Amino acid sequence: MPRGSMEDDTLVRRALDGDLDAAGELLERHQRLAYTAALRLLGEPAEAEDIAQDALIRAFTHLSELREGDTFAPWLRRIAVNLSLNALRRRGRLRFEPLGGVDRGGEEGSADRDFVDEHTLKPEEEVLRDDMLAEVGSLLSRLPEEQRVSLLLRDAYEYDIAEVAALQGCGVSAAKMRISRGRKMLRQLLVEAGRTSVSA
Amino acid sequence: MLSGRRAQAIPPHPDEAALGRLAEDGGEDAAVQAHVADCPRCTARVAELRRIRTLVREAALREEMPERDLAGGALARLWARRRIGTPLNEALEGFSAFLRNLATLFSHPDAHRDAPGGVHPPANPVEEERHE
Repeated sequence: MPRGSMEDDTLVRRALDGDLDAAGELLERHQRLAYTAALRLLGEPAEAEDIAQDALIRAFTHLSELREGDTFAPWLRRIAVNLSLNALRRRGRLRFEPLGGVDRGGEEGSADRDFVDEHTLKPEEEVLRDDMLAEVGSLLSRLPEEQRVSLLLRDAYEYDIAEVAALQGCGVSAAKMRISRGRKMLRQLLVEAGRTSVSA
Repeated sequence: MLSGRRAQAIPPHPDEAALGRLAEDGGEDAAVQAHVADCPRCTARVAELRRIRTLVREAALREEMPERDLAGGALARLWARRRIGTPLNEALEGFSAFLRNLATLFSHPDAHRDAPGGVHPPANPVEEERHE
């Protein structure tokens, strides 16, 4: 069976048995995943590439620590997320945000407007969805760092609140506040970008 | 009068954080749940927050293409590390074996004849690299 069509589990087993080609295929297959996670959190492509490459190396050298039943992709993503958070910490960019900090969400009047609901999209509109997701990705990068990181950890990577707080070195209440504010601000940015429809 | 009764019947709108928790996992606050069940505005807001969560997730997981070949670069770095690391490790192991044998030799002058492998010179990193 060609390596390209092997399941990740098979490649992991082979890589652990010393098959370097299998390890290479595994890393190549998931390099975009590692890069994307780092890019979302760091917001800078060059830095994200460095971190993603470190994550791939870390995954390779710690492959034996992948527990039975764990799948490679989410494990690699967690490595990339952790390394990205470390990078943010090293630069002193991840810090407590004052509770009275940036918050542009929740302006009066905007609450009555609704986003385009993906469930109501017609088939021909599906082609626009990718554009919308690209735009949301871009808008995410405009959120204050603490809010962006909290929101991504919670909503995209599904860390629980306690983990979000611990990973950022803040309290649970602060993490909840950052998430809430991040959602509000993202909503506001979506409204400003015209990604709305008037609801009843 | 009616609005006064309604104001008493329906408590104030929950804050964003409470609605957000409801959007995440249903929340645990019965008062918030009861309010949202009776409040079209908050029901719509929770639905909207759920859509935002979905958008964040889908947008975040939408894979981007790095400019560099990261996997190739990672393997090259691992390979380079191995090329540097292996001769060094072998040299250290060889030196360690040399010391052990030396100690044995001084304590039992003829012991080296029976020692498996005897004393090996440290590996030559240049040779090692040339073979690779």
